[in-house]
Amino acid sequence: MRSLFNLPPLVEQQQIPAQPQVGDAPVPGSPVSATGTGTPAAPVSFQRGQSVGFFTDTTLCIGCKACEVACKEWNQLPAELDAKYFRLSGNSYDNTVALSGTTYRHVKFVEQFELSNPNRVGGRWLMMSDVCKHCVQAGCLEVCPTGAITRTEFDTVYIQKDVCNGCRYCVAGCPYGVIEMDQDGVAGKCTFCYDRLQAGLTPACAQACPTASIQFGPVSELQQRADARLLQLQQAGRTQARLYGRDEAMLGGLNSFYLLEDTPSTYGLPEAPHLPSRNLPATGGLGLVAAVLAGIAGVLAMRRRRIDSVEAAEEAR
Amino acid sequence: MPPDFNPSYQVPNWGWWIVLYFFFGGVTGGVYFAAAWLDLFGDLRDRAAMRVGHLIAFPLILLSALFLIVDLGQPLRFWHMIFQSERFPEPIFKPYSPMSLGSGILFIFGVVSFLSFVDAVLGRSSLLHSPRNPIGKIVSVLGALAGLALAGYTGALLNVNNEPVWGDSPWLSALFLFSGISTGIAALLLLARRVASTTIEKLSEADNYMVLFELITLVVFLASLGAVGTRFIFGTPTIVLFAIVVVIGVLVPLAIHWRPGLAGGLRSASVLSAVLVLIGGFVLRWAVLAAPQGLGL
Repeated sequence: MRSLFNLPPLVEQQQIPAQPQVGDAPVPGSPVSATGTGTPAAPVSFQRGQSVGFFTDTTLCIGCKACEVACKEWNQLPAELDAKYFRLSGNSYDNTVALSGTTYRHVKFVEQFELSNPNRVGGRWLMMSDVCKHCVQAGCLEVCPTGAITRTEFDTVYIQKDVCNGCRYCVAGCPYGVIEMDQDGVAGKCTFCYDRLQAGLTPACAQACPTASIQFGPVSELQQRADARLLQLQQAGRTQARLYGRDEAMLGGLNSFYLLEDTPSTYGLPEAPHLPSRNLPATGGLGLVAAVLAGIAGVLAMRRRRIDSVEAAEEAR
Repeated sequence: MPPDFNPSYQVPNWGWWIVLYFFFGGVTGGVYFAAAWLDLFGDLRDRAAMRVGHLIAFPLILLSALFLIVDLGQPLRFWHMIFQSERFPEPIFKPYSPMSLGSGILFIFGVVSFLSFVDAVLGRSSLLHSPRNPIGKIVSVLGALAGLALAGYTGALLNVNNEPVWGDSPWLSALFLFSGISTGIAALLLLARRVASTTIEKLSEADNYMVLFELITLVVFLASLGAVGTRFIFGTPTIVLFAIVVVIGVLVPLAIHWRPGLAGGLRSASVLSAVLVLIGGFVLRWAVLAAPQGLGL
């Protein structure tokens, strides 16, 4: 079996340039720069008002979970140790299992091994660092009744925790199962390190990724990079390689999109995610028809034995 | 791999408070609808039942709202669903979000049912809802529309998301509407005891229609789920709940309405069938909410 790492890596060597200081945050509208792991030789440039995103190349992920740790560290997210959230798997090398209200990054381990084949010949791991997709058409944002979920000036999707009242509609509205409640009873998910973006910094996960599996930058630039990488893989014979969420056809485009080496469902991703509002015309229309039917049936029932005059009513008594 | 690996969805953990909210929301919507229809299309003998409806609709909507608020992760922020938290008192309204729509419906229904409640308490329904007061008729129409919307929007809310079962059939809004109206009529039949026999007959007949519509819609709903229904309902304990809804909440009440003598006469039959319809309405909401979340919710 061909190694996943036979191809020349996209990034030859990880170099972390000097960090911009928080106090040096640029003024609104001016270019800001960040250290991007995808192009470590030079800081990533982006502007307020420009769409930024993640391009996650799963062929480069080694499952180290450095992104998870960096995310927890930067966002001061607690370990999931209470009874509800404590869920070490016990049956996988993946011990954090899933995204949650306090785990904004999660490295999925797709472990494809047959129990009947103890020497593991033919088995494989697929790794994928999962996160909120920051959909251009976001289901969570659409259904949120309080306006707590907003779109930022960087085109990312952000939950204002002081506005959220914990109704949990966003949990049901997200097609990716990204959102959960945190210990304070409000919705939690990846913030795209909004505070770091404002300071011109790369999100913590992309900063920490040692293989440049998670690449950060302007979406248009990432799309070009993804196209080149896909071509590179396909020319090398890895025909199963595909991009997921790169195009507008999927929820207007995912600002966090992926390069996969198998079908989306293999990675636990929906093949054809859709907005919750897709169902609204049908369910609204049927509800309306039902209301009309109920009204007509009610009229029929009420009118049948109607007695209009007071005298007749007295007689009937 | 871990047992819950690869979830493309997370359940919102809408538990017993939401079951109760959905149930009582449907009941109160149905109660006001029935009272309004008695006001608009009934006769003078139906005024007593109408007044009972006005007396119970407002307390029930308060109770429903309480269940909804208690369920929130941050209950004291319940008003964020109606007003913009940072620009109070500017309202927030997203018509494409059924929960936002539902907040508006709750608000309107609360105001209308409050007016009718005050009229019933202070004026014995002879001021606003006097037989020939056109303003009272307008209030009844508004309340009936809000009541229908209140009963049905909870189904739309479940359908407009990405959960298995809920997001897979648009029939939930119609199902919850018919069920809500039938439970509301049942509640009125149960609580309005000192009313004319003809009123009971009218309400029983209306309930028959609603229960029959509910049965048809339930069958279509289950059939429309296809493979999802097979995985999440058929072959799971949830199907037992749906069976209870069909037998206890629909078929037996229909049989009792058809042959009141089986239950010892019109009035006792109306009581028995009303109790069964209410049980069926509660179990239906439990079953639907449990389908993707588990029976323990």
